[in-house]
Amino acid sequence: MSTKERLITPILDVRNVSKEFTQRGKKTSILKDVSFSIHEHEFISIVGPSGCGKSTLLRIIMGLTPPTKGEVIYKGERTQSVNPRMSMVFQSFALFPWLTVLENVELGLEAQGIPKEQRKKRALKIVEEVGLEDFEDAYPRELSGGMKQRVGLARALVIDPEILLMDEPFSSLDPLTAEGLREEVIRLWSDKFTSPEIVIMVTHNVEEAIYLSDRVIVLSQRPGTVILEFDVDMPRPRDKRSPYIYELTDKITSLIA
Amino acid sequence: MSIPRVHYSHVIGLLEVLEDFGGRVDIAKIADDLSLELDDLLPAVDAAELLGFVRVESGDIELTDEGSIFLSEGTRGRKKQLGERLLMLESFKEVIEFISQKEEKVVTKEELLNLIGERFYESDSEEILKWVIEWGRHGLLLKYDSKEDEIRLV
Repeated sequence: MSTKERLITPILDVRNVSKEFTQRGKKTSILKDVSFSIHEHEFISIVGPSGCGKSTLLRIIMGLTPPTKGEVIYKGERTQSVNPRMSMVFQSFALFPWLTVLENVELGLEAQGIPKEQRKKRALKIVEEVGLEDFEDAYPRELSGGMKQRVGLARALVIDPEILLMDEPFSSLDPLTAEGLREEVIRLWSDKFTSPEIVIMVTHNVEEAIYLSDRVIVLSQRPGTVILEFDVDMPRPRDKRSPYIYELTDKITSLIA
Repeated sequence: MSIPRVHYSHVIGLLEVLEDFGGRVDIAKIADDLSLELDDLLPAVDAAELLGFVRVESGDIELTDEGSIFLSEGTRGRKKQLGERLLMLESFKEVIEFISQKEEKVVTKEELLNLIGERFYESDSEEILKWVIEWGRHGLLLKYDSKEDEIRLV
């Protein structure tokens, strides 16, 4: 496919998406007229102040909740229900405490009707990829926060998603664990076996967004609307402490503060 | 008993940050950079030093050759190297030898708690055992069955 064709046929197209909630008869506008397109092999971050509708936008993209206005087009088709080619990593890990690591990961495949043997094989492979080898039989209570989020990642990656959605994946981790896991995500992203085509991450951490992404979309305060979209013009591996990242972080932070 | 008393992820995070700083930096600068209290950072520094991944000298922390090799490895390579480093810790090695002398190379949690309390005079054996199991698992040396409360060699 030529560059020109790629430009005119995005994998994901968010078109004029607005979302309103009605509470006790009062309408609240969460998102207003949000539009952007995503092409192949991109790591995108959506940043914005808390309450700007970032997480709601992620849910709309996946088809978990419909927009009030506008539409989400995935490969030319309008999203009307949960998109099976996407999976989500949650801030709160969302693991089942009564299932082992391997069972939690396999769960992602059960819904796809894959035979048990194959499920186990694929789950074991992913568990190893994310550094959970020897923890297959552990229960979530035996794991640190960082390990729990690795299970969350494995469960999302096991279905081999084309688009991986991450909702504040590092924000409930301590700073040291988050540092290590960010590197891990970048490593998984560049690994052909586990790599989804596209990653869309929602975060309130501007520096984290710039460090990890190819492109950052900045939302305003509620109702969230796109106020800036920019490419992070920096080759990988990146230097987290480069003046470029610091300058951009300052610039964006002053926009949304 | 000489055993890292922080999560594995803390040691990895510390090494990653250290590498970002060019391999040597004032410990206080790392704490400041991560908005951490020095007291919260020091256990990770101690653990990384115990494993030979860093050396600490007049307030500075420096990545050793072993630490650099560790960082350059993938997940499995790191675990393998970690296992080797753990076996260089005398007391950890003793725990492994204790299990390997058992029939079928498996012990109950109770047996290990007794060993830790009596042999290493640790008052909080439960806490120490928790770290032994966590690090042993990461180093691909131990398996733990929490239903049966059994620990076995890999």
